[in-house]
Amino acid sequence: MRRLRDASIRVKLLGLIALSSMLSLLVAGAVMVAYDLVIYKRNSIASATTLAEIVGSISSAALAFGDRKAATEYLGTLRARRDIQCAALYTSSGQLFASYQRSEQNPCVFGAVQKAAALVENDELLVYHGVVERGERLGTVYLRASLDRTARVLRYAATVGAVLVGALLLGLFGSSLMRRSISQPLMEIAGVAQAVTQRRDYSLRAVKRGEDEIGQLTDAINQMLAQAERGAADLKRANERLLSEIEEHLRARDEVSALNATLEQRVAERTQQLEMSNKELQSFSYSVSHDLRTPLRAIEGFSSALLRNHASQLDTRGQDYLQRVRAATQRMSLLIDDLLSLARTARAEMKRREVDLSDLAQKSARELQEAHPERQVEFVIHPELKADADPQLMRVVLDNLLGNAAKFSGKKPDARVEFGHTLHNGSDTFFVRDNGVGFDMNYAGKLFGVFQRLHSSAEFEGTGIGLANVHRVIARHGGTIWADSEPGRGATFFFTLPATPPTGDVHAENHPAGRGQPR
Amino acid sequence: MPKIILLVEDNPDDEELTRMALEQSNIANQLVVAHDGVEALDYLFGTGPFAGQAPPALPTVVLLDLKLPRVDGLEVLQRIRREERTRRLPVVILTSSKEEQDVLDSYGYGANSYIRKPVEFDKFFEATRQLGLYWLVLNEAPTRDQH
Repeated sequence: MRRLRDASIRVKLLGLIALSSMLSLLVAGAVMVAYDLVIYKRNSIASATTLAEIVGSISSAALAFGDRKAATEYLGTLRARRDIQCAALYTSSGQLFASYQRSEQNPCVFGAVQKAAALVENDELLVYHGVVERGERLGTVYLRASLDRTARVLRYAATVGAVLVGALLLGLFGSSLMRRSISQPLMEIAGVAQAVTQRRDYSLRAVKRGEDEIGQLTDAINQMLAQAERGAADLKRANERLLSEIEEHLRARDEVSALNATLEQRVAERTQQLEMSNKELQSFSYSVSHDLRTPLRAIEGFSSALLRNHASQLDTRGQDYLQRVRAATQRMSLLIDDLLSLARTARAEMKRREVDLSDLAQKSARELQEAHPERQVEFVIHPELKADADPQLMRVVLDNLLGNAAKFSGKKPDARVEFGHTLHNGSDTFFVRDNGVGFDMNYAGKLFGVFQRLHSSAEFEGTGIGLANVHRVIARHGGTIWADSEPGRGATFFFTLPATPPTGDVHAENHPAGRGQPR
Repeated sequence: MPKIILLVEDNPDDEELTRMALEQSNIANQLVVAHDGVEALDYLFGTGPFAGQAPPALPTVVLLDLKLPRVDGLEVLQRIRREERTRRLPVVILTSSKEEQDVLDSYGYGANSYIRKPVEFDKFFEATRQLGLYWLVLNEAPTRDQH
C-alpha cells in the first residue's frame, strides 16, 4: 500500500492504464474465446457429421455387400484428418463391421451402437450417423474426434498476452507524453514550493501551462503564494515596527540609566560637598571654640593682672577702661559660646524618645536659681508633661525659655515663671509664661532671628542667639513656636512637638523673621 | 627635691597667664614649659636636645594643651600612656576647647582630668589654684618603686 502511495503519479497513471487495458482485453478475450468455443463446437459437430455422412455414403456399398476389407480401407482414409481418433462402422443389427484407430497409445473402445446423435464428452466429439440407402438403413457410422479446445484456448491466451504486451508498450509511450503534460507541471509546482520553503521567497510563481486541473492547481498555488507574500510583508513590517519600538525602548532605558548614573553621581557629589561643608563647619566651630578664645583669654587675663597688680599706677579712668575691656571680652566669650551652641543644635544628631519635659524643666529651673541667687523667681512647673523629642535639644529649649522668662521677670518682686500644657487649635501645645516686662508684638517677627534683641543689653544681658537656637530645635522636631505678649504684662511662648516626626530632618520651614504667633 | 610641673603650651600668653596664676597661688614648684608635643616628649623620654643627659626627674603632673604644633596633645597623651616609664604619670588636659569629642578622646586615652581654660581671669586663676592644690598637695602620686 505504502509503495503504491509513494509511487509517482506517472507510475500510478501507467498502472491505471495498464490495469484497465488488461482488464478490458481479458474480458474481450474471454468473451471471444467463449464465443469461438461455441462456434468451434458447432462447426466441429457439423464438420464431423458431414464427414460421417461422406464416410457412410462411401461405405454403404461395402456395408451392403459385407465387404469388410473395403470398409476398413475407406475408414483408413480418415488418417488424413488428425482430429479423428477413432472411427467405426456398425451393421444395422448393431454389430461392429469395420474400425479405425489413429494411435495405439490411445486405444478406442467400441461400445454398443447409439442412435444417431452428436455429443461432446471429455473434450471429445462423438458422432453416430446412420447409413441410409434408398430409405433402407444399412448401418451406423461412428466417429470420435478430439476437439482439443485447451490448445485452442492457450493459443488465444498467447494472442491476448501479446496484445497486452503491445498495449503496455503503448502505455509506456503514452506515459512519457503524460509526463510532459501532467508530471512536468506538477514537478514544477513542487519545485516552486520547495524553493519558497527554502529561500522564503514568496515572490516566486509557478508557470501555468493550461486550463486543466493542474492549471487550476497552479492558480491556487500562485494565489496562496501571493497571499503568503502579502502576509510575509505584513509580518515583516510588523516585525520592523516592533524592532524599532524595542530599539526605542532600549534607548529610553539607556537614557534612564544614564540619567540615573548622572543623578547618582550628582547625589554623590552633593553628598560629598555636604560632608565637606559639614566638616568645614566642624573645624570652623572647633577653631572658634579654641582659637578665638585664646586671645580673648589673654586680653582678659592681662587686663585683670593690670587691675590686680598695677592698679596703683592707673587713675580711676584708666581702671574703668580696663574694666570695660574685661566686660567686652567676657561678652565676646559668651557670644562665642552661644554661637557654638547654635551650630551644635543645627548639626547634632536627633535621637527622639519619650522625654519627661517636667523633669527637664525642674533641673533647668534649679540651675537657674543657683546661677542667679539674686533673682526672686517662683517656678511653677506642671507635672507629667511628656513629649517625643531629643532630651539634650529639649534641654537647650527649656534652658533658654525658662532663662529668658526668669531674666525678664526677675526684677519684679513677685516674679512667676510657669511651664505647662494647653490645647491650641486642637493640638498639644506647651507654654512658658512669665509676668515680666513683656515686649511689643510689633516686633514679634524679630524674636527668633539670630542677634535680634528687643531689649538693650544694658537693661538685660544676652546675646540674641538663645531664641534662634530654640526655634531651630523646635523646627528640627517638626514643631512650631510663637509668642504672645504685651509690654509690662509678661510674655508667653508656645511650642508644639508633633508626635510623628517628619521623615527628613527639615530645618525651619518657617523663617524666624516675619512671624509672631499664628492666630 | 621640688616637685616639677610640666606645662605643654604653645601660646606664650597662656604660658604667662598660667605662670602668673601659679605664682599667685603660692605654688612654689618648678615649672617646665614645653612649647609643642615634640618638645614635651623629648623632655619626658630624654630624646632630641635632651639626649645623652641623665633622664630628668618625671614631673608630678603634666598640664597638657590639646592644640599643639607638630605633635598634638592627644598624641602626646597616647605616647605617655604607651611608655612604661610614664604610664602612670598624672596628665591634666588644660585647653580652650570643650568639644565633646575632645573630652571623650582625652579620657579615652587615659587623661586624669579635663579642664577648660575659662576666659575670665578670675575663674582661670581659681581653676589653676585648685588644680595645683589638688595634684601637688592633696593627690598622692605613684612612687618610683611602684613602676
